[in-house]
Amino acid sequence: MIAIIDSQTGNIGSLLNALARIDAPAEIVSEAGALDRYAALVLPGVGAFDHAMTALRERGLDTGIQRFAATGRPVLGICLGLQLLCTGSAEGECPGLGLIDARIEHLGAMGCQGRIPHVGFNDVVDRVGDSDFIAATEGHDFYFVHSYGLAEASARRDSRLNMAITEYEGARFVAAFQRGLLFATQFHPEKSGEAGVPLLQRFVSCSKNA
Amino acid sequence: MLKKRLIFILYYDAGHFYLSRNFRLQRVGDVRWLVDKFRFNAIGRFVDELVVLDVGRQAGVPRCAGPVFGDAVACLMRQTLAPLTIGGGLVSMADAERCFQVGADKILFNSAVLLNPRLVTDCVARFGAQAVIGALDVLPDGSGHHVTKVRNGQQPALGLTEHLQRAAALGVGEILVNSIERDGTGMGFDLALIDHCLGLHTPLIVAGGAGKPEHFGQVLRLPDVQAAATGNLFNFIGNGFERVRHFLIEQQFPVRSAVVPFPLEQKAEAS
Repeated sequence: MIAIIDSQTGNIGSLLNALARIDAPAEIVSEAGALDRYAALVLPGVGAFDHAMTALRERGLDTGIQRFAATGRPVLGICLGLQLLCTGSAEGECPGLGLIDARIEHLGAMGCQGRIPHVGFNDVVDRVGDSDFIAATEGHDFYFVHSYGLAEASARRDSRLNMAITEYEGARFVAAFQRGLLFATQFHPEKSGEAGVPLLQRFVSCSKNA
Repeated sequence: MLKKRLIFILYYDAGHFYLSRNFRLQRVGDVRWLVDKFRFNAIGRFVDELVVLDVGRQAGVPRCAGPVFGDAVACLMRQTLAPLTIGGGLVSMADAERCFQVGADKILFNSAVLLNPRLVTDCVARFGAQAVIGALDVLPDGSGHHVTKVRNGQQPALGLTEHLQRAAALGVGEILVNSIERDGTGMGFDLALIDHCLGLHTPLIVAGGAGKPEHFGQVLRLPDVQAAATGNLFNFIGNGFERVRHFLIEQQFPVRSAVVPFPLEQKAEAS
Protein backbone atom coordinates (compact mmCIF):
# COMPACT_ATOMS: atom_id res chain seq x y z
CA MET A 1 0.00 0.00 0.00
CA ILE A 2 1.24 3.47 -0.96
CA ALA A 3 0.80 6.50 1.28
CA ILE A 4 -0.06 9.75 -0.48
CA ILE A 5 0.77 12.62 1.82
CA ASP A 6 -2.09 15.05 2.22
CA SER A 7 -0.14 18.19 1.51
CA GLN A 8 -3.34 20.26 1.74
CA THR A 9 -2.35 22.18 -1.35
CA GLY A 10 -2.68 19.88 -4.24
CA ASN A 11 -4.74 17.76 -6.41
CA ILE A 12 -4.63 14.25 -5.04
CA GLY A 13 -7.59 12.83 -6.97
CA SER A 14 -5.70 12.55 -10.23
CA LEU A 15 -2.85 10.79 -8.48
CA LEU A 16 -5.24 8.26 -6.97
CA ASN A 17 -6.78 7.73 -10.41
CA ALA A 18 -3.39 7.24 -12.05
CA LEU A 19 -2.22 4.76 -9.42
CA ALA A 20 -5.51 2.88 -9.64
CA ARG A 21 -4.90 2.42 -13.36
CA ILE A 22 -1.72 0.51 -12.65
CA ASP A 23 -3.30 -1.49 -9.84
CA ALA A 24 -1.29 0.26 -7.14
CA PRO A 25 -3.51 0.71 -4.10
CA ALA A 26 -2.95 4.02 -2.32
CA GLU A 27 -4.41 5.97 0.56
CA ILE A 28 -4.24 9.56 1.63
CA VAL A 29 -2.31 9.99 4.86
CA SER A 30 -2.41 13.12 6.96
CA GLU A 31 -0.64 12.09 10.15
CA ALA A 32 2.91 10.95 10.72
CA GLY A 33 1.99 8.12 13.08
CA ALA A 34 0.22 6.23 10.30
CA LEU A 35 3.23 6.10 7.98
CA ASP A 36 4.69 2.91 9.46
CA ARG A 37 2.01 0.87 7.75
CA TYR A 38 2.98 1.81 4.20
CA ALA A 39 5.50 0.38 1.76
CA ALA A 40 6.00 3.57 -0.24
CA LEU A 41 5.21 7.24 -0.01
CA VAL A 42 4.23 9.90 -2.53
CA LEU A 43 4.62 13.58 -1.68
CA PRO A 44 2.52 15.59 -4.11
CA GLY A 45 1.81 19.27 -3.98
CA VAL A 46 1.19 22.50 -5.77
CA GLY A 47 1.42 25.97 -4.40
CA ALA A 48 3.78 27.92 -2.28
CA PHE A 49 6.78 26.26 -0.64
CA ASP A 50 6.36 27.74 2.84
CA HIS A 51 2.66 27.01 3.01
CA ALA A 52 3.22 23.36 2.17
CA MET A 53 6.23 22.99 4.44
CA THR A 54 4.37 24.57 7.36
CA ALA A 55 1.43 22.23 6.78
CA LEU A 56 3.80 19.24 6.91
CA ARG A 57 5.51 20.48 10.08
CA GLU A 58 2.27 21.15 11.93
CA ARG A 59 1.39 17.47 11.62
CA GLY A 60 4.88 16.11 12.23
CA LEU A 61 5.00 14.90 8.64
CA ASP A 62 8.36 16.56 7.99
CA THR A 63 10.20 14.25 10.38
CA GLY A 64 7.79 11.46 9.47
CA ILE A 65 8.84 11.61 5.82
CA GLN A 66 12.52 11.87 6.74
CA ARG A 67 12.21 8.77 8.92
CA PHE A 68 10.27 6.96 6.20
CA ALA A 69 13.07 7.57 3.68
CA ALA A 70 15.72 6.60 6.21
CA THR A 71 14.09 3.20 6.70
CA GLY A 72 14.78 2.20 3.10
CA ARG A 73 11.33 2.67 1.64
CA PRO A 74 10.74 4.43 -1.67
CA VAL A 75 9.63 8.06 -1.75
CA LEU A 76 8.33 9.95 -4.80
CA GLY A 77 8.07 13.75 -4.77
CA ILE A 78 5.90 15.31 -7.45
CA CYS A 79 6.10 18.97 -8.55
CA LEU A 80 6.27 20.97 -5.30
CA GLY A 81 6.99 17.59 -3.69
CA LEU A 82 10.31 17.46 -5.56
CA GLN A 83 11.14 20.91 -4.25
CA LEU A 84 10.20 20.03 -0.67
CA LEU A 85 12.79 17.20 -0.74
CA CYS A 86 15.54 19.84 -1.08
CA THR A 87 17.10 22.00 1.63
CA GLY A 88 15.07 25.12 0.90
CA SER A 89 13.68 27.40 -1.76
CA ALA A 90 14.11 30.95 -2.98
CA GLU A 91 10.32 31.08 -2.84
CA GLY A 92 10.23 31.04 0.94
CA GLU A 93 11.98 31.06 4.29
CA CYS A 94 11.20 27.56 5.58
CA PRO A 95 13.87 24.87 5.44
CA GLY A 96 12.90 21.91 3.26
CA LEU A 97 13.14 18.22 4.11
CA GLY A 98 16.83 18.20 3.19
CA LEU A 99 16.89 14.75 1.59
CA ILE A 100 18.66 16.33 -1.37
CA ASP A 101 21.44 18.81 -0.65
CA ALA A 102 20.40 21.57 -3.04
CA ARG A 103 18.27 24.68 -2.99
CA ILE A 104 15.32 25.49 -5.24
CA GLU A 105 15.63 28.60 -7.42
CA HIS A 106 13.28 30.76 -9.45
CA LEU A 107 13.37 29.92 -13.16
CA GLY A 108 14.32 33.54 -13.84
CA ALA A 109 17.42 33.16 -11.66
CA MET A 110 18.45 30.22 -13.88
CA GLY A 111 18.42 32.52 -16.89
CA CYS A 112 14.92 31.81 -18.17
CA GLN A 113 13.97 34.41 -20.77
CA GLY A 114 10.47 33.09 -21.33
CA ARG A 115 7.19 33.69 -19.62
CA ILE A 116 6.97 32.35 -16.11
CA PRO A 117 5.34 30.12 -14.90
CA HIS A 118 6.48 27.34 -17.17
CA VAL A 119 3.13 25.78 -18.02
CA GLY A 120 2.48 22.97 -20.45
CA PHE A 121 4.04 19.96 -22.06
CA ASN A 122 7.78 19.89 -22.47
CA ASP A 123 10.34 17.22 -23.28
CA VAL A 124 13.63 16.06 -21.78
CA VAL A 125 16.83 17.27 -23.44
CA ASP A 126 19.45 15.39 -21.45
CA ARG A 127 19.69 12.37 -19.19
CA VAL A 128 22.33 11.59 -16.57
CA GLY A 129 22.88 8.11 -15.14
CA ASP A 130 21.43 4.73 -16.03
CA SER A 131 18.22 4.62 -14.02
CA ASP A 132 15.17 2.90 -15.58
CA PHE A 133 13.00 5.61 -14.06
CA ILE A 134 14.93 8.31 -15.89
CA ALA A 135 15.11 6.25 -19.10
CA ALA A 136 11.30 6.20 -19.17
CA THR A 137 11.30 9.94 -19.94
CA GLU A 138 12.76 9.37 -23.39
CA GLY A 139 10.66 10.47 -26.35
CA HIS A 140 7.75 11.89 -24.40
CA ASP A 141 6.36 15.24 -23.34
CA PHE A 142 5.36 15.79 -19.73
CA TYR A 143 3.07 18.28 -18.07
CA PHE A 144 4.88 21.00 -16.13
CA VAL A 145 3.32 23.79 -14.16
CA HIS A 146 5.81 25.66 -11.98
CA SER A 147 7.83 28.84 -11.46
CA TYR A 148 10.63 27.41 -9.35
CA GLY A 149 12.84 24.40 -9.85
CA LEU A 150 16.05 22.52 -9.16
CA ALA A 151 18.70 23.99 -11.46
CA GLU A 152 20.78 21.51 -13.41
CA ALA A 153 23.97 23.12 -12.10
CA SER A 154 22.88 22.60 -8.47
CA ALA A 155 21.74 19.02 -9.08
CA ARG A 156 24.97 18.01 -10.78
CA ARG A 157 26.88 18.66 -7.55
CA ASP A 158 25.34 15.42 -6.26
CA SER A 159 27.15 12.82 -8.35
CA ARG A 160 24.76 10.08 -7.20
CA LEU A 161 21.72 11.73 -8.79
CA ASN A 162 20.34 10.13 -11.91
CA MET A 163 18.43 12.88 -13.66
CA ALA A 164 16.47 14.05 -16.64
CA ILE A 165 16.98 17.68 -17.66
CA THR A 166 14.44 19.95 -19.30
CA GLU A 167 15.13 23.25 -20.96
CA TYR A 168 12.80 26.22 -21.06
CA GLU A 169 13.85 29.45 -22.73
CA GLY A 170 17.39 29.45 -21.43
CA ALA A 171 16.86 27.72 -18.08
CA ARG A 172 17.99 24.12 -17.58
CA PHE A 173 16.49 22.32 -14.62
CA VAL A 174 15.72 18.87 -13.28
CA ALA A 175 12.60 17.30 -14.80
CA ALA A 176 13.05 14.08 -12.81
CA PHE A 177 15.66 12.51 -10.58
CA GLN A 178 16.34 9.24 -8.85
CA ARG A 179 18.87 8.47 -6.15
CA GLY A 180 18.43 5.01 -4.71
CA LEU A 181 14.84 4.81 -3.51
CA LEU A 182 14.33 8.56 -3.65
CA PHE A 183 12.37 9.52 -6.78
CA ALA A 184 11.04 12.88 -7.90
CA THR A 185 9.50 14.61 -10.87
CA GLN A 186 9.07 18.34 -11.42
CA PHE A 187 6.39 17.48 -13.99
CA HIS A 188 3.15 15.71 -13.14
CA PRO A 189 3.34 12.06 -14.28
CA GLU A 190 -0.31 11.70 -13.25
CA LYS A 191 -1.25 14.56 -15.58
CA SER A 192 0.90 13.64 -18.56
CA GLY A 193 -1.48 11.17 -20.13
CA GLU A 194 0.00 7.85 -21.10
CA ALA A 195 3.58 9.14 -20.99
CA GLY A 196 3.56 9.37 -17.20
CA VAL A 197 2.29 5.87 -16.51
CA PRO A 198 5.62 4.01 -17.04
CA LEU A 199 7.33 6.28 -14.49
CA LEU A 200 4.69 5.56 -11.89
CA GLN A 201 4.98 1.86 -12.70
CA ARG A 202 8.74 1.93 -12.09
CA PHE A 203 8.32 3.68 -8.76
CA VAL A 204 5.60 1.24 -7.72
CA SER A 205 7.68 -1.79 -8.72
CA CYS A 206 10.46 -0.53 -6.38
CA SER A 207 7.96 -0.31 -3.59
CA LYS A 208 7.04 -3.94 -4.10
CA ASN A 209 10.71 -4.90 -3.83
CA ALA A 210 11.30 -2.76 -0.78
CA MET B 1 10.89 22.77 -26.04
CA LEU B 2 7.66 23.94 -24.50
CA LYS B 3 4.74 22.75 -26.61
CA LYS B 4 1.68 24.70 -27.70
CA ARG B 5 -1.52 23.45 -26.13
CA LEU B 6 -4.98 22.47 -27.26
CA ILE B 7 -7.60 23.00 -24.54
CA PHE B 8 -11.16 21.68 -24.34
CA ILE B 9 -13.55 23.87 -22.36
CA LEU B 10 -16.70 22.30 -20.96
CA TYR B 11 -19.67 24.36 -19.78
CA TYR B 12 -21.58 22.64 -17.03
CA ASP B 13 -24.72 23.32 -15.05
CA ALA B 14 -26.60 20.98 -12.72
CA GLY B 15 -25.86 17.64 -14.34
CA HIS B 16 -25.58 18.72 -17.96
CA PHE B 17 -23.03 20.08 -20.37
CA TYR B 18 -23.90 23.02 -22.58
CA LEU B 19 -23.06 24.43 -25.94
CA SER B 20 -22.32 28.12 -25.62
CA ARG B 21 -22.99 30.28 -28.67
CA ASN B 22 -22.41 33.99 -28.29
CA PHE B 23 -22.83 33.22 -24.58
CA ARG B 24 -26.31 31.78 -24.98
CA LEU B 25 -26.37 28.31 -23.50
CA GLN B 26 -27.97 25.25 -25.04
CA ARG B 27 -28.25 22.05 -23.05
CA VAL B 28 -26.57 19.14 -24.82
CA GLY B 29 -25.93 16.07 -22.66
CA ASP B 30 -24.89 14.64 -19.34
CA VAL B 31 -21.56 13.22 -18.23
CA ARG B 32 -22.30 9.85 -19.76
CA TRP B 33 -23.10 11.47 -23.09
CA LEU B 34 -19.90 13.46 -22.99
CA VAL B 35 -17.71 10.49 -22.05
CA ASP B 36 -19.26 8.46 -24.87
CA LYS B 37 -19.33 11.02 -27.68
CA PHE B 38 -15.84 12.35 -27.08
CA ARG B 39 -14.28 9.00 -26.20
CA PHE B 40 -13.07 10.50 -22.98
CA ASN B 41 -10.84 7.59 -22.04
CA ALA B 42 -8.61 8.49 -24.98
CA ILE B 43 -9.15 12.25 -25.11
CA GLY B 44 -5.89 12.94 -23.30
CA ARG B 45 -4.03 11.84 -26.40
CA PHE B 46 -5.44 14.68 -28.45
CA VAL B 47 -6.36 17.40 -25.94
CA ASP B 48 -3.67 18.78 -23.66
CA GLU B 49 -5.90 20.18 -20.94
CA LEU B 50 -9.50 20.28 -19.83
CA VAL B 51 -11.34 23.27 -18.39
CA VAL B 52 -14.72 22.73 -16.74
CA LEU B 53 -16.72 25.86 -16.00
CA ASP B 54 -19.90 25.90 -13.97
CA VAL B 55 -22.19 28.32 -15.78
CA GLY B 56 -25.14 27.86 -13.43
CA ARG B 57 -27.13 31.01 -12.91
CA GLN B 58 -29.57 30.02 -10.21
CA ALA B 59 -29.16 32.30 -7.22
CA GLY B 60 -28.04 30.68 -4.00
CA VAL B 61 -26.89 27.43 -5.61
CA PRO B 62 -23.20 26.69 -5.09
CA ARG B 63 -21.54 26.42 -8.46
CA CYS B 64 -18.19 24.83 -9.14
CA ALA B 65 -17.47 24.48 -5.43
CA GLY B 66 -20.64 22.46 -4.86
CA PRO B 67 -20.92 18.69 -4.45
CA VAL B 68 -22.90 18.03 -7.66
CA PHE B 69 -20.21 19.65 -9.74
CA GLY B 70 -17.53 17.74 -7.83
CA ASP B 71 -19.19 14.42 -8.62
CA ALA B 72 -19.41 15.21 -12.33
CA VAL B 73 -15.77 16.22 -12.43
CA ALA B 74 -14.69 13.10 -10.55
CA CYS B 75 -16.58 11.00 -13.08
CA LEU B 76 -14.81 12.70 -15.99
CA MET B 77 -11.39 12.54 -14.42
CA ARG B 78 -11.60 8.81 -13.84
CA GLN B 79 -11.46 8.56 -17.63
CA THR B 80 -8.39 10.64 -18.34
CA LEU B 81 -5.05 11.77 -16.95
CA ALA B 82 -5.22 15.27 -18.41
CA PRO B 83 -4.64 18.45 -16.42
CA LEU B 84 -7.85 20.07 -15.21
CA THR B 85 -8.92 23.65 -14.60
CA ILE B 86 -12.13 24.43 -12.74
CA GLY B 87 -13.99 27.73 -12.62
CA GLY B 88 -17.35 29.43 -12.43
CA GLY B 89 -18.73 31.14 -9.38
CA LEU B 90 -15.73 30.95 -7.08
CA VAL B 91 -16.36 33.48 -4.32
CA SER B 92 -14.14 32.42 -1.43
CA MET B 93 -10.89 30.75 -0.49
CA ALA B 94 -12.92 27.79 0.77
CA ASP B 95 -14.44 27.46 -2.71
CA ALA B 96 -10.97 27.47 -4.24
CA GLU B 97 -9.77 24.81 -1.82
CA ARG B 98 -12.75 22.66 -2.67
CA CYS B 99 -11.89 22.89 -6.38
CA PHE B 100 -8.39 21.56 -5.76
CA GLN B 101 -9.81 18.82 -3.56
CA VAL B 102 -12.08 17.55 -6.32
CA GLY B 103 -9.23 17.39 -8.77
CA ALA B 104 -8.37 20.81 -10.16
CA ASP B 105 -4.81 21.60 -11.07
CA LYS B 106 -5.77 25.18 -11.72
CA ILE B 107 -8.70 27.43 -10.96
CA LEU B 108 -10.14 30.05 -13.25
CA PHE B 109 -11.47 33.46 -12.25
CA ASN B 110 -13.51 35.59 -14.56
CA SER B 111 -15.63 38.30 -12.95
CA ALA B 112 -13.55 38.13 -9.76
CA VAL B 113 -10.67 39.76 -11.65
CA LEU B 114 -12.72 42.97 -11.48
CA LEU B 115 -15.16 42.35 -8.64
CA ASN B 116 -13.02 40.47 -6.13
CA PRO B 117 -9.36 41.02 -7.03
CA ARG B 118 -8.33 40.33 -3.44
CA LEU B 119 -9.57 36.75 -3.73
CA VAL B 120 -7.52 36.31 -6.90
CA THR B 121 -4.32 37.61 -5.32
CA ASP B 122 -4.96 35.53 -2.20
CA CYS B 123 -5.28 32.42 -4.36
CA VAL B 124 -2.10 33.29 -6.24
CA ALA B 125 -0.31 33.55 -2.88
CA ARG B 126 -1.88 30.38 -1.53
CA PHE B 127 -1.69 28.05 -4.56
CA GLY B 128 0.94 29.75 -6.70
CA ALA B 129 0.58 31.79 -9.88
CA GLN B 130 0.72 28.66 -12.00
CA ALA B 131 -2.54 27.46 -10.48
CA VAL B 132 -4.62 30.54 -11.28
CA ILE B 133 -6.05 31.62 -14.66
CA GLY B 134 -7.65 35.02 -15.20
CA ALA B 135 -10.29 34.97 -17.93
CA LEU B 136 -11.78 37.84 -19.94
CA ASP B 137 -14.83 37.80 -22.18
CA VAL B 138 -14.48 40.31 -24.99
CA LEU B 139 -16.68 41.88 -27.64
CA PRO B 140 -16.29 44.72 -30.15
CA ASP B 141 -17.78 48.03 -28.99
CA GLY B 142 -18.87 49.01 -32.50
CA SER B 143 -16.19 51.67 -32.95
CA GLY B 144 -13.22 49.49 -33.72
CA HIS B 145 -12.25 48.81 -30.11
CA HIS B 146 -12.77 45.85 -27.85
CA VAL B 147 -14.37 45.89 -24.45
CA THR B 148 -14.78 43.17 -21.88
CA LYS B 149 -18.02 42.09 -20.36
CA VAL B 150 -18.74 40.19 -17.20
CA ARG B 151 -21.09 37.29 -18.01
CA ASN B 152 -24.54 38.21 -16.75
CA GLY B 153 -23.02 41.03 -14.74
CA GLN B 154 -24.20 44.57 -14.28
CA GLN B 155 -20.69 45.90 -14.60
CA PRO B 156 -20.04 48.59 -17.20
CA ALA B 157 -17.87 47.41 -20.07
CA LEU B 158 -14.18 47.91 -19.58
CA GLY B 159 -11.53 48.54 -22.23
CA LEU B 160 -9.65 45.41 -23.25
CA THR B 161 -6.21 46.81 -22.56
CA GLU B 162 -7.09 47.98 -19.08
CA HIS B 163 -8.74 44.66 -18.25
CA LEU B 164 -5.68 42.73 -19.47
CA GLN B 165 -3.44 44.94 -17.36
CA ARG B 166 -5.60 44.45 -14.30
CA ALA B 167 -5.55 40.67 -14.71
CA ALA B 168 -1.79 40.60 -15.23
CA ALA B 169 -1.27 42.86 -12.20
CA LEU B 170 -3.02 40.33 -9.99
CA GLY B 171 -0.19 37.92 -10.76
CA VAL B 172 -2.25 35.20 -12.43
CA GLY B 173 -0.25 32.50 -14.21
CA GLU B 174 -2.22 32.59 -17.45
CA ILE B 175 -4.76 34.83 -19.13
CA LEU B 176 -7.60 33.37 -21.18
CA VAL B 177 -9.23 35.71 -23.70
CA ASN B 178 -12.57 34.60 -25.09
CA SER B 179 -14.44 36.28 -27.93
CA ILE B 180 -18.14 36.57 -27.18
CA GLU B 181 -18.84 37.36 -30.82
CA ARG B 182 -17.13 34.22 -32.09
CA ASP B 183 -18.10 31.97 -29.17
CA GLY B 184 -19.58 28.71 -30.48
CA THR B 185 -19.79 29.94 -34.07
CA GLY B 186 -17.01 27.86 -35.61
CA MET B 187 -16.07 30.87 -37.77
CA GLY B 188 -12.49 30.93 -36.56
CA PHE B 189 -10.71 32.81 -33.81
CA ASP B 190 -10.94 36.61 -33.74
CA LEU B 191 -7.46 37.41 -35.02
CA ALA B 192 -7.94 41.17 -34.65
CA LEU B 193 -8.84 40.72 -31.00
CA ILE B 194 -5.88 38.42 -30.39
CA ASP B 195 -3.64 40.98 -32.04
CA HIS B 196 -4.57 43.40 -29.23
CA CYS B 197 -3.57 40.85 -26.59
CA LEU B 198 -0.03 40.19 -27.76
CA GLY B 199 3.04 41.32 -25.84
CA LEU B 200 1.79 40.32 -22.41
CA HIS B 201 4.25 38.84 -19.98
CA THR B 202 1.65 36.33 -18.89
CA PRO B 203 1.04 33.19 -20.99
CA LEU B 204 -1.97 33.68 -23.26
CA ILE B 205 -4.80 31.24 -24.01
CA VAL B 206 -7.23 32.23 -26.75
CA ALA B 207 -10.80 30.96 -27.12
CA GLY B 208 -13.90 31.59 -29.17
CA GLY B 209 -14.59 30.59 -32.74
CA ALA B 210 -12.64 27.41 -33.44
CA GLY B 211 -14.50 25.26 -35.95
CA LYS B 212 -11.87 23.25 -37.80
CA PRO B 213 -8.22 22.20 -37.46
CA GLU B 214 -6.88 25.10 -39.56
CA HIS B 215 -8.30 27.60 -37.08
CA PHE B 216 -6.00 26.30 -34.37
CA GLY B 217 -3.05 26.66 -36.72
CA GLN B 218 -3.93 30.31 -37.36
CA VAL B 219 -3.48 31.24 -33.72
CA LEU B 220 -0.89 28.74 -32.50
CA ARG B 221 1.60 30.09 -35.04
CA LEU B 222 1.64 33.37 -33.11
CA PRO B 223 4.62 33.32 -30.74
CA ASP B 224 2.63 34.90 -27.89
CA VAL B 225 -0.25 32.43 -28.00
CA GLN B 226 0.57 29.49 -25.76
CA ALA B 227 -2.70 27.65 -26.09
CA ALA B 228 -5.90 27.62 -28.10
CA ALA B 229 -9.16 26.53 -26.56
CA THR B 230 -12.58 25.53 -27.76
CA GLY B 231 -15.82 24.76 -26.01
CA ASN B 232 -17.64 23.86 -29.20
CA LEU B 233 -19.28 20.54 -28.42
CA PHE B 234 -20.55 19.98 -31.94
CA ASN B 235 -17.62 20.83 -34.19
CA PHE B 236 -15.21 18.47 -32.47
CA ILE B 237 -17.48 15.62 -31.51
CA GLY B 238 -16.27 12.08 -32.19
CA ASN B 239 -12.73 12.18 -33.55
CA GLY B 240 -12.64 16.00 -33.96
CA PHE B 241 -9.74 16.58 -31.60
CA GLU B 242 -7.84 13.70 -33.14
CA ARG B 243 -8.13 15.46 -36.51
CA VAL B 244 -6.91 18.73 -34.99
CA ARG B 245 -3.93 17.02 -33.35
CA HIS B 246 -2.95 15.26 -36.55
CA PHE B 247 -3.26 18.47 -38.54
CA LEU B 248 -0.99 20.33 -36.12
CA ILE B 249 1.58 17.53 -36.13
CA GLU B 250 1.52 17.30 -39.93
CA GLN B 251 1.99 21.04 -40.21
CA GLN B 252 4.94 20.76 -37.82
CA PHE B 253 3.51 22.92 -35.09
CA PRO B 254 5.39 22.49 -31.82
CA VAL B 255 2.74 20.37 -30.13
CA ARG B 256 2.88 17.28 -27.99
CA SER B 257 3.29 14.49 -30.49
CA ALA B 258 3.74 11.30 -28.54
CA VAL B 259 0.37 9.72 -29.09
CA VAL B 260 1.17 6.26 -27.85
CA PRO B 261 -1.33 3.44 -27.52
CA PHE B 262 -2.43 2.83 -23.99
CA PRO B 263 -2.43 -0.86 -23.08
CA LEU B 264 -4.61 -0.26 -20.05
CA GLU B 265 -7.40 1.37 -21.98
CA GLN B 266 -9.68 -1.64 -22.00
CA LYS B 267 -9.35 -1.97 -18.29
CA ALA B 268 -10.27 1.70 -17.84
CA GLU B 269 -13.36 1.14 -19.97
CA ALA B 270 -14.42 -1.88 -18.00
CA SER B 271 -14.19 -0.21 -14.61
